[in-house]
Amino acid sequence: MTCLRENENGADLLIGFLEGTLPEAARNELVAHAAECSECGEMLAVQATLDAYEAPEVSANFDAQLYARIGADKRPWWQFTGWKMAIPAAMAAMLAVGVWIRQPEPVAVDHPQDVQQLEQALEDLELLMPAGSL
Amino acid sequence: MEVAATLERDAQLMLRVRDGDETSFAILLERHRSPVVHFVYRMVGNQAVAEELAQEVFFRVYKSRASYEPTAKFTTWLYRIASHLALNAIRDGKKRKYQQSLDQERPDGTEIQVPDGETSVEQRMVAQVRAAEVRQAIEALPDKQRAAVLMHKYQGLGYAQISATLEVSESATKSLLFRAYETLRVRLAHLA
Repeated sequence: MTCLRENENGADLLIGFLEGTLPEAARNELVAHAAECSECGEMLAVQATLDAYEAPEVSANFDAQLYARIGADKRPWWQFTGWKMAIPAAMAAMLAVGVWIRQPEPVAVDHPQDVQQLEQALEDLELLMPAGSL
Repeated sequence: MEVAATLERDAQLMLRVRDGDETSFAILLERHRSPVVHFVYRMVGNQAVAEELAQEVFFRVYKSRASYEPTAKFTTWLYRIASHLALNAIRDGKKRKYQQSLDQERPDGTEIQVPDGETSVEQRMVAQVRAAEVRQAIEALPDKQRAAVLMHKYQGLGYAQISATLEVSESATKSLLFRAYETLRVRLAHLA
């Protein structure tokens, strides 16, 4: 048999060997070849080397954190936001109402009577002032 | 046969979760919590990030319960979510932010795990060095090769299921796995 790397079915052979689906004859042939071939021997041996990398235990509070998140997601938004959000929201609403109440009356721009009175006052002032002083 | 029965039970449990049975979700969580966390841990290389992402996996499973249809194996769906999240986290650079070295203690003060049976201090140190080398070799793999080899080697998924999980063809999956194992062989031959 040729080396796994040079064999066009190398991937099939290796994966079949590792998953235990390779027919017995092909399996025996690969094992016999790997005993003679250092590269193919290493390819099979690396599986045991990979066992050295273990993952740590899962934290004890993993489930509690997950269920807290699920619970938070189930709560309606006004409960989710809580007082931390409700207090500034209420203050903002009160401020808006206050500003609206204290809004000054719009200034009238068209008061012909006032304009006439002002013009009259200016004319009176001109009459009272010495000539050439204005 | 037993594996097939377990997979079928997973789908049945998920259908019960869809119908509002919270206990079935707890059973699924108990069954798949460690494998999913371990898979994501080996993908991103950090325990805190792995647990955060694994919680997101189960949260999404729970959130999608109403639309669940057992069209694929439950674990294919589960690991599809997990691998997408892990690959995105790696791309976003989240991994770098939380990256930890194997020779350092974890933030919670515990040491990186090594296989049982290493009793003396010297044996433990040797085991830690081996584990560090394996980890570095796995982390150096391209993302999809890493995901494929982790699911194959540590999660016990077959190439067909990995193909469905990563949404690539079966021949492409075999090729990914072969190239990954070949790279690992070269990098780790001195440890054999």
